[in-house]
Amino acid sequence: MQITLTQSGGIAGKKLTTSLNTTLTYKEWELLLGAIKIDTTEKSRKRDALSYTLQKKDDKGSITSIDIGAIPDAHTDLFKKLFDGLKPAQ
Amino acid sequence: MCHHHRNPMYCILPPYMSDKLGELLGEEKQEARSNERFREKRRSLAAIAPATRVFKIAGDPPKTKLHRELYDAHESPMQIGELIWKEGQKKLPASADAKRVIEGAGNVWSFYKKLFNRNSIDNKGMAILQNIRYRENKFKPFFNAFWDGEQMFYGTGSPKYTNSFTTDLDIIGHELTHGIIDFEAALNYENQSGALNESYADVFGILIKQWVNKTPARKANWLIGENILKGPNALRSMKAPGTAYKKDAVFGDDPQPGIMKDFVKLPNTEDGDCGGVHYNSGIPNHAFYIAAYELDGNAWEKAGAIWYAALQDKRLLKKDADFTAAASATLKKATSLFGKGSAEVKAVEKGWKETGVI
Repeated sequence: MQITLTQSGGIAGKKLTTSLNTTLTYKEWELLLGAIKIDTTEKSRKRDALSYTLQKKDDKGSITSIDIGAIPDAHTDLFKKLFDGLKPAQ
Repeated sequence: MCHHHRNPMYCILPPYMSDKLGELLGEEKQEARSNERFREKRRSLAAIAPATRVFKIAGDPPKTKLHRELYDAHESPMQIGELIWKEGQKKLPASADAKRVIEGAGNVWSFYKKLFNRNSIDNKGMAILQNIRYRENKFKPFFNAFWDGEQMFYGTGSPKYTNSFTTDLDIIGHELTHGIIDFEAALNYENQSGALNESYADVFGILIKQWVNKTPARKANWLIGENILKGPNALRSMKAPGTAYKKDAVFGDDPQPGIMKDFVKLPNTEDGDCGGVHYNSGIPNHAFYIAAYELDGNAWEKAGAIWYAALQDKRLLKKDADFTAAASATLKKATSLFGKGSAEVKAVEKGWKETGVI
């Protein structure tokens, strides 16, 4: 499964993104999202905060906002690779 | 010698202007939100925090004096760090980050107090709480600084790519000004009003830096965050938006427009930067730069006073104000402060015209 992490906002305001092929199963993906997804319907009072979204390749239109502070230990290596791979979006 | 008892900003203005400004600013301010809600949050968070760390709760701030507190997040996602310094302690912490934000917040407070007689963020003596060495995730260096609605957070970045986000005074000024904006025009953080919110934070961030360094408008470089990125790169240029950084290892190339023709249309979503608030802020930033450059002298004395007066007038600068409304508000304030057809009015008009806003 290929997943895409996108970082947006921040004081620089620059969008960064990266994609990675993973061995995650559909069930593992759902569990991961369940652990880290956040509700963004309420307007945040934060200014210049970074925000993150996660999407899997065949999941057209479904982009999930996530809290990277809630990443389960089991997925630390995966997210280390994703963080290291962030590049400016085209 | 200045004999004005109400507002030291008037000391830099002739009496006829200072009296007029007093009328415009008015004595009635928005009922500022109480500090109590924040302190209650800190208490409740402290109650659920790991018992292995000692957390302190912000005390009642003095109402008329600067009150700063500094917390260390220890390169972790702690929302409440360890209290390492508070106002009154003579010995500063050893770290450069700590010293910079303590001194920086003091400069921000003094700027607003001395020029605009503003008593801290809420104009009611709100304590300035700052957190250094913050991370959102312990494995990811934090390349950022932000205002969370109640306090400041700074990341140390990564030595390979950036310097600490405490390095530049204009960044400290930018973030604390976001708090002030929330208590004044409270510009919605989306689309053009969000870009104005960002621009106001940049404008006063750069003015604070120029004021501290005594740099007149025409000698300033107008770069925001000029010491954070590696090499000759800065985070933004108010003089020439879109040129602040190029081929930066983290951020690539600067995408900011400086004129309306290049306005960036982005969706009002998180990954659309809330409609491009950090992109299109380049346009009002550039308008301010043009006005300040045109007026010569110190940018905080005339252009800064005009922009601040507009920020305080909710009738002119509403929450959902767009760039045209900001142009109208600053032109009206320039007229009120300096007179119809004055050089100040013409300079402000030039700024908004050359950026294509009006």
